[in-house]
Order: sequence, then C-alpha cells, then structure tokens
Amino acid sequence: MSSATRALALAAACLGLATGCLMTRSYLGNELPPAADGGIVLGKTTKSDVLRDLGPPDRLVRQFDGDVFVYEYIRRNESTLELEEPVFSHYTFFEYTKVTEKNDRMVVFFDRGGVVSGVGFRRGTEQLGPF
Amino acid sequence: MRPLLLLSCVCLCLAGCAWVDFSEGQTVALDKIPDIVPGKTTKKEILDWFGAPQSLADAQFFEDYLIDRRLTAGPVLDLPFADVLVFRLTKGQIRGLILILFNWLDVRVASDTLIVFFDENDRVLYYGFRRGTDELRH
Repeated sequence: MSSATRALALAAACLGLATGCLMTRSYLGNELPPAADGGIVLGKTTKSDVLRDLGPPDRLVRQFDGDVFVYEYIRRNESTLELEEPVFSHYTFFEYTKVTEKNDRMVVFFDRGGVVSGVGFRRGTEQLGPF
Repeated sequence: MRPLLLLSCVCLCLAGCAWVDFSEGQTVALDKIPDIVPGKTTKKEILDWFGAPQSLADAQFFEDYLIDRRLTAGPVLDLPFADVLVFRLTKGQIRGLILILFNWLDVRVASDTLIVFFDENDRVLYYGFRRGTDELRH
C-alpha cells in the first residue's frame, strides 16, 4: 500500500468516526447604544432620565441604599468537535468544545432619591474573535 | 459526471435545516404607552392597559428553559415589589443548518420590556420602554 493510499484510508476512517462538529453563535438580549454611559452625570442624572434614554434595565437589583440597574448584551460563540463510534456503542473517542462569551454590561447605581451615584460600563463584545 | 457526483455527496450529507421561533409573555400594548403620564396615571390603569405583569402571572416555561441553558439573564425582578411592575415579551429565533459532519446554529433572544415605577399613592413615578424584538431578523 502506497503512502498516499494509506493516508487516504486513514482520512476515510477518521471521517467515518466523526459524527460531526457543531458551531453555535448566540446573541442574547438587546444591544446597548455605542456610548451608553455618555450622557450620565453623577449626582445629577435621575432614574427617569436613564429610563428615557436607555429604557428598562435587564435586571433591577434593590439595595438598602437605592436601586441598581443592570444592562447586559451577551454574545457567545461555541464550537464542538466530536468523534464517536457511530453505529453500535456510540462511544465518544474525542470531544473538543470551545466557548467564548463576551458581554456589554452597564451597571447604574442610584441613591434613595433616584439620582445616579455611580456607573460602570464595559464593552466586551468587540473583543469576540471571528467565528 | 463530476458535478453529479458532487451533487450526490451534498445530498447525502444534507440532513436538513432547523427553523425555530418562540415567544413568551404578553405583547406590550404600544398604543397605550404614550398615555402613561407620570404623577397622573394610576396602577389600576396600568394593569387595565397592560394586563398581568411578569413574574406574577405569566407562564415561564421558556424563560426557565432559557435560564437553564444560560440564554438569558432571567427576569428583571427576582422578587415582586409593590412599587414596580414589569411587562415583557421575549422572543427567540434559532436558525440552523444540520449536516452529517457539520452543524451550524444561530441563536438570537430579544425582548420588549416596559417597566413602571409607582409612588406611595400608586401613581406612576417614572417608566421606561425598550423595543428589542425588532432587532430579530425575519
């Protein structure tokens, strides 16, 4: 058997074992505007202003000192390669999964009077690599 | 002969495609949103216009599933509070190509959300609305 034929036979065997790969791309939640925290001024911007400009939060956390608005947009890329015996036992010889998740997240803290006391914003989805 | 062979291979590999749409919650009555006036509109009017709020009466089968699969952050409020009502419609879309050796899925989840805060007299203090389901592709 020549080396080329042997390589071809090996490739065919691998192909027979491979039940496949799965690639999933997820977009979860509503995308935040480019400069979401741009118009927020500490000690001045009110809860009403934030609701008008950014809409309702994805999560509302209630603290003793005031509410916290959490805005979040998640992107996730997931790749899986699985090799298994396809007919009898379905025994998995090899499985490889890679999950990359990045999110845009903004947290706005309010005092008891409903005025912004703090804001944190991180845009992470731009760091997500090509699919 | 070669194109025919290629076509046969493609046909053998092509097991199908996935096309899933789902939604949960009540459609937020968009025509009533301009009628909300802070300091004037009452909680009774809000409940009349928008129905039962999230976390209190909606069926949450899909939401539970999405939380379990880490496809959503969960409800806006973990506990019901008398001074906040949330109305939400969540929509999801899955588009997939199912082949024998290669499978590809595109999952998108978005929601329309209305949140209304009330003062101690049960009148609207402030509110916010965001329409996210328009971003889903059709």
